[in-house]
Amino acid sequence: MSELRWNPLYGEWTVTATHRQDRTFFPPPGYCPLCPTVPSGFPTEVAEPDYDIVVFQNKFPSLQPNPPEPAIESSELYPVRPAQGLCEVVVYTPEHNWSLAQQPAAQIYKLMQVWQDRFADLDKHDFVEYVFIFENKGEAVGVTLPHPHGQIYAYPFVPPRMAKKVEQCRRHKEKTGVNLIANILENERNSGQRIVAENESFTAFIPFFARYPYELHIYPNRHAEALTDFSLKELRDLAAIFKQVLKAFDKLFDVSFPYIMAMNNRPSDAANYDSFDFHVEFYPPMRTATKLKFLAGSEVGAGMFINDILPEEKAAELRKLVEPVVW
Amino acid sequence: MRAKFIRRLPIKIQMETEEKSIETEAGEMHKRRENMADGERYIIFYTFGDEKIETENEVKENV
Repeated sequence: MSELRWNPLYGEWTVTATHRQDRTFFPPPGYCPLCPTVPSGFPTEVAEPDYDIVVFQNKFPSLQPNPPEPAIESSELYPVRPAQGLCEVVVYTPEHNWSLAQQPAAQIYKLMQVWQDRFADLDKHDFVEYVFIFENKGEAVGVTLPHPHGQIYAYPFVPPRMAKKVEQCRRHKEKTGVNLIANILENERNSGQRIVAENESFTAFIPFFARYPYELHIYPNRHAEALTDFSLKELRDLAAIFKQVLKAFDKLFDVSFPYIMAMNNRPSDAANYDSFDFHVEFYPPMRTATKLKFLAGSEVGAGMFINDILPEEKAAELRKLVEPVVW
Repeated sequence: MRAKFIRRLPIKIQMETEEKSIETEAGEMHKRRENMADGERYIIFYTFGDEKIETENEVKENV
């Protein structure tokens, strides 16, 4: 059963996808579905080993290109629609044990090109209004398959957080004449206190308004609305800054640092998004070496985040751990 | 639903010389799209290198 159900309280869609309950959950060694299949071995999702990066449709998708009709009737209060869309899995490497932070910068650069290609392809689908590239890393954020991978959801609507952000960007431009994300970046660069890493094309920082202790944003140094706007040189710079911040994350507590990575491109509905700029956000759940930040009453019930730590302090901590990239 | 059109070209015309050397560094990207064993889903193999290895299945997404 799979359908979109309208939430009239918040004015947003919820996906009901009951088949996902059966998805693979911490498979035993030798049974990773994301490893390439070995001769006479367990048949995985990836039938051959000859690739740098592989992308396939999720076996347990929340959204499908040809979804079933909703199993429940739509009403005026509770509109229902088919859960149309696409869910892809992006396997970063055939190697099971290497996280993205451990990949050579050159492999991350390849990944940037694959992400760019996937965005370009999915962006063209008529039924797609938003292409969301993301990674959940680590058990702390609910990952059940440790093989390094990310996901892409192509939604049939602009999801609520993105819609709100796009609207904020539009209003800011209307009011001030400058792009909000460029304005934030300018402010962060002028202050310098929260900058973690930078190169010719991108800047990484913990924003003034961070909701998590190690929430880190990467903004482009020029206007760009989507991955497809970047040159190869810029993708290489994006790979370099990814490598730097991911390595710094891992060095913080000497653990493979968990996070949610959200890549924010403009929506795909062919409207004008000149006021919006591409950016990447990392939401790590760790607040100390032994403690996680849980979303509790204020965050979940009221939507107001409480950050126990100053972004300026955390940025200084991370900045010290940033190393030059070796290609 | 509104018809889509391709609104942008990647900004790959700038710094052409520099681009060329960066592309060579990772090797050109190739992709090969196939059906998965269940016959319902697609899989895309991405490889990087100078040698062209795409088959006739080389991708044109179903859009």
